[in-house]
Parts: sequence; structure tokens; C-alpha cells
Amino acid sequence: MSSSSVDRSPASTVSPGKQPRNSADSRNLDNHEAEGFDVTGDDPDLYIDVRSLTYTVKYDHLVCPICQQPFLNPYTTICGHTFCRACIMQAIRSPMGSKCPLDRTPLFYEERLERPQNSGHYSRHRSSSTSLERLEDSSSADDSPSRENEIFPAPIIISNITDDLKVRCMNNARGCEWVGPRWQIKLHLLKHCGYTRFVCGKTGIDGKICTKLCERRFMERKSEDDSEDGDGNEEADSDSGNDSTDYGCPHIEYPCPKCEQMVSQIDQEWHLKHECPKNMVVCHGCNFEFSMKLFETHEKYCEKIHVKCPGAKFGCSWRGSRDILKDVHLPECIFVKLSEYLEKQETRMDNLSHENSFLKSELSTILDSVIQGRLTNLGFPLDLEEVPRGGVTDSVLGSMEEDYAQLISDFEKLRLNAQRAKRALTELEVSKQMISGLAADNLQIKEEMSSQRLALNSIRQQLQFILMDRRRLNTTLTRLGSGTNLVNEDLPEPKLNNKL
Amino acid sequence: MGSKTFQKSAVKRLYKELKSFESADGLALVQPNTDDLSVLYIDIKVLDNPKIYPVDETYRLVVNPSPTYPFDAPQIKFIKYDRYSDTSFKIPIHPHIYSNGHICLNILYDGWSPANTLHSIAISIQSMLSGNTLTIRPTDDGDYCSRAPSNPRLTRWVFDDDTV
Ligand SMILES: [Zn+2]
Ligand SMILES: [Zn+2]
Ligand SMILES: [Zn+2]
Ligand SMILES: [Zn+2]
Ligand SMILES: [Zn+2]
Ligand SMILES: [Zn+2]
Ligand SMILES: [Zn+2]
Repeated sequence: MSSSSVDRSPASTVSPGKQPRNSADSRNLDNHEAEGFDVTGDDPDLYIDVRSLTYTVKYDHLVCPICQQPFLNPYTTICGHTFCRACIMQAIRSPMGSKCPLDRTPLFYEERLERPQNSGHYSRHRSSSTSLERLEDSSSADDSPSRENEIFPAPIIISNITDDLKVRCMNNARGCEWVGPRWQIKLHLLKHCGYTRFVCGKTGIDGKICTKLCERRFMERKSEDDSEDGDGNEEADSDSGNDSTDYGCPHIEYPCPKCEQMVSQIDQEWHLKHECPKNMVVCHGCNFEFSMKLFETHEKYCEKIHVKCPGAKFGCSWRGSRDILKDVHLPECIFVKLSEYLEKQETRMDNLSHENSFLKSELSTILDSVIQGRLTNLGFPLDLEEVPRGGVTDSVLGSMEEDYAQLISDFEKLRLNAQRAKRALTELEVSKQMISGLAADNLQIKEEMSSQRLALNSIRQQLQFILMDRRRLNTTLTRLGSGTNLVNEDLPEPKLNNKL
Repeated sequence: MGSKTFQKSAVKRLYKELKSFESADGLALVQPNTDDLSVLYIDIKVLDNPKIYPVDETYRLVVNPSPTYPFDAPQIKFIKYDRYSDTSFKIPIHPHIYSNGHICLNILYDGWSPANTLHSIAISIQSMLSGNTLTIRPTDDGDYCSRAPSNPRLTRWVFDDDTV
């Protein structure tokens, strides 16, 4: 690869810029390539790590007590507790043994007795349709197991609900905005997501199959400029005897059309935006030219660039260049003046809603533990009376008393917590009412102000009307008394009034 | 010690516990070395038993999760001295806590369940202290401490229901 890339270096002037880049190629790429999902083997099932998904919704009641994540292929025990299949299977093989991790119910389980998972919907109807299943898979019926497994697939509704939880694409850090139900993630990653990386597998410039990883969006992109950019391309072409359309490897480097530094399809976008010194843009404010990487900083400081008023989020619709904003608009913008107050209100509302959701979740965990019997010690007694071998044993009675006291104190704690939650809730209610009261007051004041403004306007009109009248009166008076000199004293007065 | 390779599931759960540990009510989970999950601290204050445990006294538990956590119990004991922060701590007095910091509580050993969390363990130990009325050490304290291994999980703890 290195030899061929030297061959096709188009001009000697480029090589100094190119040389260090090639040596640090892989590191360079790492700088702007984020974590995501890569297909590196034949069986993607093996490495789609569903547990690393980010959920966009709350999943409080659907959490496996072992991995603390939403259930994955949930299994239920005869004591009514539900876990991920992988979790409960590993748990019964752990030192704890074949017991329920929550309440220590002994659990019988043998893998050979498990009904085949993927044999259609029959596997879901456990006890109700045993006869049907016997008919279905007679081979296992021949074994005629004397016991049934005490760990079995959870009711299908549980797996349906957990499979429907909304998750973010694993390639979110690379730029994929996809959010969808968990059961679709595999399909999305393998078939649709443009940011999933696959082994390139196309013929490289040296005629070998490229083994680098490449995001789907670059592999499917039609490479038109590929055939134009380098003379070296055609040389290698004739060597391998391939058609140039086979030449789809997006890792093939070519000189950047602007600065001639070597780039490939994959990093061209990033290069143009962050690296290329000759990718020019014209600032629409000051009309000067900048390279893209400098423009990002210029954009923040350009005096002439058009920006929104900082009060825009409260409703100001003003837009204009930054210097006018600073000198003219800001001093007079009512929204900016009010912004401190409005922001305070907003954070208060935010805090309240946070508190509210926190209290809600607290309440639901309390409910949860009441329903599931999941108190702090997981429902089995604390064995405080145990002592190391050779030690003296306490009397059982005393320890029972201790346990009892413990339970009472735990219960008391829970009760206090619940009371606190209740109190906080009522406080919340009160402050909510206060705020809505304030808002109503505010509205009323606004209305009053506008009615006052109206009144003021009508008074002004009346005043003008009176002034006009008076002027008319004056002129008629002067016309009437042109013979006499009576009116002269009245003249200054209307002038004074006009100033109003 | 730091070279322990944690299972993927262990890392995931430990990070989740670190993130969601409710540090209220006198409990706190601390990670002294970022990126090192093999040593964690739980700081415990006893708020409702001032006769025996002063309200402002902090006791420190050192937690060493196993690479297969939560399927195997973590190693948990009280410590007298923390070399990372160069601070000294007291070992709370209790008829089931040895003066070397080992705790006689079965959920830390044979009674461990993968459904336990560091938070549930912390609460159990805290309530064990809250409910205590005796200012004594276990009767075999001197004997045990002279021969005990540093890892309490290596001690063969015996439960009452075995001997009775
Ligand atoms: Zn159970
Ligand atoms: Zn699980
Ligand atoms: Zn995606
Ligand atoms: Zn390639
Ligand atoms: Zn360039
Ligand atoms: Zn500009
Ligand atoms: Zn404005």
C-alpha cells in the first residue's frame, strides 16, 4: 500500500505535506472517529451488545435485579421473580447455587428439559398446552421428564414490553440520530444505519482486497470523482486488469481538490471542515473569505454577521448584524431586560418539575418494593447471629429479638420516608398554585395596563379635538374682531397648549 | 491487584451502581482511582444511634468486587487507614465486627446473592449499627484477629443454623 501511494503522488510539491500524514494515518483517523458499531465477523449476534444500549425512556419496573438493565430474554421462576435468561443462568451456577437470587427459593433447572425456544409460539404456552407440545416435539416427550423446570420463559407480554423500549442507535456518537424500539436495533445496525462500519472488502489501489473498516455511507456512495483524480489509478487499473467501476474502495487516497493534501472519501468531509487550509467560504456578514476551519472561530466574533437577539427564546423576533445588536437593539430590547426574571422563573419551573418527577419515582420504588416484597435486605432475614467457627454462639432468642427490632426500625424508616415524600408533594402542590396565581396576576396587570393605555389614547384624542376647536374659535374671533384689538391677549395661550 | 480483568457485565453493573448510588442518609460510594473498579469505598455514618456511634463519625468500608461481580460476593471490610487520602478511620464497635474490620454478616459470604447491590449491602451494615445496643467486640476477637486472613472471604464463617 505504501509503495503504490508513493507511485501515484501527483506532484513533488505535495509530498512533504503528505509524508507525515501517511505515517500517522491510523492515529489521524482515530482523532475524529467516534465509538460505534462495527461488523467484524460472520455472526453479528455474537457481538451486538444489547446491554450497552442507551434507552430514551424510563424503564423503572422492567429491570433485571442482577444486571440492573431492562430484561433481555426474560425468564421467570416458580417464586414469581423475573430475570434475564443469561443472568439467572449464570446466577444458579454461581456459589449461591440453584436458588432464586431474591428470596432463595430452591429452583430446579436442567437445560435438557428446556423447551426449544424458537419452535414458534408453542414454547410460550407452558402448562396450559402441554399435550399440544408433546405432539409437537415427540422426541423430548419420549424422555418423559418427571420434573418440570422451575425457571421458564416469562409471560410474553414482559418480553414484548421490554423489546419495545426505545433505544438510541449505537452509532449515535458517529452522528446517527436513529431512535427506535429495541427489537429493531439489529435490523437497523446491519441493514440501514449509514454509520455502521463493515470490512471494506473492495479492491484497493494495490490490487489487494481492502481489510479496513468503513462506514456504510461511504461504501454505498457512488464514486464519480474517483476515476478523474489520479493518474496512478489507471496504472494500477491495467495491472490488475480490472474495470474502474470495481474500484470502489473508499480508502483509496487522492489529492484534496482544494489543497492537494491526500485524502480519501472517508475523511474528505472531515478534512474540508476541520483541516483544509484552502476550502474557502465567504462570511455572509463581512464578505471576507476564510478557510472553513478558521471560519468556525470567525463566526463567533464577526461584528457584521447576522444574529438573533439573545431575548429570542422569550419571544423577541429581532435579527440583525452583531454590532447593531450591541449598540442599538440591546439597550432597548424589553425581552433582554426581562430575561433575568424570566430565566429565574424558568429555572424555578425546571426545579419544580425535576422535584416532581423525583418524588414520583420515589413513590413508584416504594410501591414497587411493597408489591415485590423487595425491602432493603431483599426479603430474607439478616443472619446477625452467625459467628466464625470456634466462636461462642449467641442465644437464638436474643438475635431474634434483635431482628425484630431491626424490622421495626426499618419499617419506621420507610414510614418516615413516605411521610416526607407526602409532605414534599403537598409543598410542591402549594408552590405550583402560587406560581399559577402569579401568572394570573401578571395577566390581570397586563390587561389593566392596556386598558389604561386605551384610556390615555382617548384622552389625548379628546385633547387634540379641544385644541382644534379652540384654534377654530380663535380664528373666527380674530376674523370677527379684526376691527377691534380685543383678541390679542388670547393668542399666546393656544401656542402653549400645542406643546402638549 | 489493578490487573484484575473484570467481566463486561461486572464493569457495566459497577458503573451503573456508581452512577446511581443514592448518597443520602449518611451513605456514600467513592471510587478512589478513576478507571479502577477493583477498589471502592463505602462511607457510612450512623445517624440514629448517638449513644454508641457519634453522628459525625464516618466509617469506611473498602470494597473489592470480584471479576465476576455480581455473581460472586465482593470482599468487604472496615478499614482503619486509607493510604490514598492518608486518613485514619475507626472500626465501629459491634458484637459482630472484629477489631480488624471483618464483619460477621452472612450476606457478605455464603449468603451473597447476585441481586444484592453495594447499596443494599451498605444499608444492611448501616442498620446493623443503628440497631446495636452493645459496646462489645465479638467474644473471640483477640483469637480471631491473630489468625485471620486479610481477606475475610477466606475465613470459614459458620452460621448458627449449621451448629444449632
Ligand atoms: Zn424468587
Ligand atoms: Zn439481567
Ligand atoms: Zn444508526
Ligand atoms: Zn477500503
Ligand atoms: Zn484540502
Ligand atoms: Zn465576517
Ligand atoms: Zn430583542
